[in-house]
Amino acid sequence: MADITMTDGVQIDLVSRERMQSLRSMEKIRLIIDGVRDGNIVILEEGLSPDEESKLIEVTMNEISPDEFTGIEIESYPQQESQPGLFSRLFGRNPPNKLTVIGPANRIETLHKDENLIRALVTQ
Amino acid sequence: MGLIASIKDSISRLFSGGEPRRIGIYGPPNAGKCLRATEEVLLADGTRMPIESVFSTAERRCPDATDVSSASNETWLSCADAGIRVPALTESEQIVPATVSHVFRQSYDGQLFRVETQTGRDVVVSPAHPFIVAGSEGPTQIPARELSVGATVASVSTQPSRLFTDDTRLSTDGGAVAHASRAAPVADYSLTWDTVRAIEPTSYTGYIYDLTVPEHHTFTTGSGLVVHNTTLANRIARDWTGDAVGPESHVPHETRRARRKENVEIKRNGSTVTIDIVDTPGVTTKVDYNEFLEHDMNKEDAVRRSREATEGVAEAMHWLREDVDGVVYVLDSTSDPFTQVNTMLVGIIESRDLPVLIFANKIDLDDASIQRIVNAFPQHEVIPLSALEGENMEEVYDKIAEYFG
Repeated sequence: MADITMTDGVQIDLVSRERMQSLRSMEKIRLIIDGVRDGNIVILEEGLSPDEESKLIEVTMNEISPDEFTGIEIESYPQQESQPGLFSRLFGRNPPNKLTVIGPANRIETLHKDENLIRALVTQ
Repeated sequence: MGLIASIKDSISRLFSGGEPRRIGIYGPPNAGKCLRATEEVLLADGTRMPIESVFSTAERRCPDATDVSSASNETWLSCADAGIRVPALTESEQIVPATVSHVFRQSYDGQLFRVETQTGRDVVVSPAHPFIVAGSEGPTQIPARELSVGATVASVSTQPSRLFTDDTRLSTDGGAVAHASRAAPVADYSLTWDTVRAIEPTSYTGYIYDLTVPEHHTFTTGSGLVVHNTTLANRIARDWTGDAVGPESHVPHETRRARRKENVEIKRNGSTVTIDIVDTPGVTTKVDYNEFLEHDMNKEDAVRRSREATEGVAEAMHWLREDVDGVVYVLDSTSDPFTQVNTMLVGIIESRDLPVLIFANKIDLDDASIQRIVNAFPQHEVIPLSALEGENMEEVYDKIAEYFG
C-alpha cells in the first residue's frame, strides 16, 4: 500500500488487490472505516464482494455519531452484466468488483459517474 | 458462513416450503402528495381544522408514535390511536366516517396548484395530489397538474344534514377534533359533484401535509373537495396488510418496532400465498443529523432521529443477509436508477441468490421512464406500477405469487 500525504492536505490510501486478498472480510471493513474516519480517501484496486459491501454499510451505520462521523461516500464502476453461474448461485459469490473509491461523506462528493469514469470532488 | 452451512442454506432456499416466505421491501424513500399547511380538512364531526393542526393534534395525542419515514425532510406518524376521523368517499360513492391512520409532513419548496370550482370551493395542493374526477367509466383519480377546467370533481355537502350523537352539541377538544368514541358526533355528509373553474400554479415554501385514510384512501378539504390520500413507496407493503385497501389481504399480527407484517395472505387464482413482509427504510451510506436541523427540528430530536435512521439501515442490511427469502426492490421510475446504492443493493441481493422483483413505481407521472430501469437492471423482471393510482396492481400480485409463493 502506498500512502500519499501532504501537510494540511488529503491523504489517499491506494490499497492493492494483493493486500485486500490477504485480509478477512471484517479486516477489510475495518481497514476502510478506520482510514475514512481518519479523513482519508481509500481507493481499492479491487473492490469488496457484495456480502462485504452489505457489512460495510451495516458497520458504517453503527459507527455514525453526531459531530464526529457522518458516514461514507462510495463509488465503484458498475458490475459487468452477467448471469451468475451455478457455483456462484450456490455459494453466493459473484465476480469481484472493479476499482472502488471510498471517503468521508462530509469531504467527498461525486460529480460524475459512468461505466468508464468516476469524477469526485474532495474537500479538506 | 461456513461451507457446509452455505450449502445447507442454499439447498433449503431451493426447496423450502411450508413456512411463510419472508419478503423484504427495499428502495429509496419517496415523497407524498400534499396540501398546503393552512388548508382546512373536513372532520367527521362536522368541524374543520387546518391540516397542520391535524398533524400537531396527532403528534400530541400519540407522543410515542412511530415515524415510518426515513427521509430527513419528512415525518410520517402512525396515529390511529389519536381518534381523528374524517369523512371519506367509498367505492360505492358513499361518504362515511373513517379514522386517519397516519399524518404526513414534508418540507417543500416549489410549485403548488390552486384549484377553484364553480361553487366557490378551492384548495391549494401539490402538483401530484389527485382529485376524484367523474369519468365515462366511473370516478377516477387525476393529479392536480393534469386537471382541466370543466372537469367534474367529487365534493361533499359542507353543511352536515344531521348529526348522529347522544348529545346534539358538537363535542370538540380544545377547539380541535373530538376523540372518537360512542358519544362523538358523526356528521351525515352526502356526495355532490362540482365543476373546476380555474387552475393556477403558485409558488410555495414551507411544510405540506397529507393524511392516510385506510381502506377508502380519501379525505375532504374544508371547502368540501374530495382528494386522494398519500401514496409512498412502502404504501405497497401496507396495501397487503389490511392497513389499506384489499379484500385479498389479511394480517393477524403486526410488530411495530420491527415494521414486520407477518402472515400476509394474497389470494391468486384460487390459491393463497402467505408471506411475511419486512418493510425497510431507504438504504444509504451516510446520515448527518444536521440535515434534520434544517427542517425545524431541535438538536436533540435531530440526533435521535438520525440514530433511528442509522439503526434502521443497519437492521435492513442484516435482514438482507440473514433473514429474507425474497426481495421486492421499489424504484421511483422518474429518478435515475444508476446510483451506487441501487447498484450495490441489487448486487447484494443477487449474491444471496434471492428471488427479486423490481417495481418501477410512479408510472402515472409524465417523466416516468420504465425503460431506464429495464436498461439498468436487464437481468431482472421489472414490473411497472402506480401505487398512487393502483395501476397494474393485478400484475404486481400475480408476480408476487409467482416469485414468492
